[in-house]
Amino acid sequence: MACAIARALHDRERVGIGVNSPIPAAGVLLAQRRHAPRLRFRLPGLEGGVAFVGSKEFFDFAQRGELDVFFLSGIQIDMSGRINLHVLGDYERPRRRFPGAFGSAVLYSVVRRVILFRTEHTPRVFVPRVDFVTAGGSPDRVVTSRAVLGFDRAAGRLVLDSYHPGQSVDSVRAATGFELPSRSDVGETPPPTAEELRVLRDDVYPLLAAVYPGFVQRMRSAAVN
Amino acid sequence: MLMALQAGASGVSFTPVPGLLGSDLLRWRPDFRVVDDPCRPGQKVVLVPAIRPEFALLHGRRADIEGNVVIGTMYDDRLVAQASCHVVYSVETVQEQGTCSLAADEQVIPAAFVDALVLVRD
Repeated sequence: MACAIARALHDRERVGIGVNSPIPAAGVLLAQRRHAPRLRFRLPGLEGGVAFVGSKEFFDFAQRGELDVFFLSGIQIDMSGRINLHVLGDYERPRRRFPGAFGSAVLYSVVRRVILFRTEHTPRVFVPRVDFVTAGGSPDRVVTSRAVLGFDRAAGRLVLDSYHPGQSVDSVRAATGFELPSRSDVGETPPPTAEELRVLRDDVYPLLAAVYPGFVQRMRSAAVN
Repeated sequence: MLMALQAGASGVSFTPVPGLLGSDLLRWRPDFRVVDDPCRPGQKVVLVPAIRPEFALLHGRRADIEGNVVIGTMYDDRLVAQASCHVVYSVETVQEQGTCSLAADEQVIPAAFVDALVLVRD
């Protein structure tokens, strides 16, 4: 997922990384160390990022249209790319309640490219219609543990761009709770290269450990096994 | 919320906020109003009431005896202190002249925004 995110980023782009987003953070650092050396990013707590004074300055920056990329996720993501960060079930009698929008309802419409990410790719996450629309817009793409979904702007819906190694068009469709058309050039996501894995291991994880120690530990033990 | 706090800090009763259109937040927050944008004909804009907290309880690194407080630059405490009616700061030390030298990641909350200091001892 980090490699798929890294490949989606361009040199010189200004990228924001929100809270609890270790995979996008790994992708951004990987891109910066590979093909996008002049990419600038903001990740609170990490050396080398843009040091905004508070979140307000960061949000104002984004609201002026100066932020190229931001990463959002959702408890649910629907076929139109809308996300739910509020409740499962009815708003007044929810089955589960979650922390809320975290500015996503603003960022989704002011950031040039919003990349959605979600590790769990199942029918309970990818639903036809979210229970609560926290934010909506036109996502650049959705990166999951199974696939990369693109956004067909004309149709206003998500489509299958590529399936990761070990997956197929059918397995991704079976894990998605709505009809998922494929792009005409759909194929396998190129697997991470040896060089990408080396940069992640040697350069990215040591930096990221300051912000996401648990994530880095899990990635390292997964790589050993 | 940051913009609503900024409105509170600026002493105005509401603020326009970009985005939000299409979010169910508008269904459950009747105090968020959608109006025609007077400066961009044909566009809608969401107006959100200002937030003025009655009390803010904040923590700073150190203070001086005038009540100036030194804090980090990472968070939005300055905005909260400006918007709130009463501000109580806890600090770890109070110095005669605590604010004259600042590290690169520090800023001063002026004593004018601070109603009371609480000294936190180890």
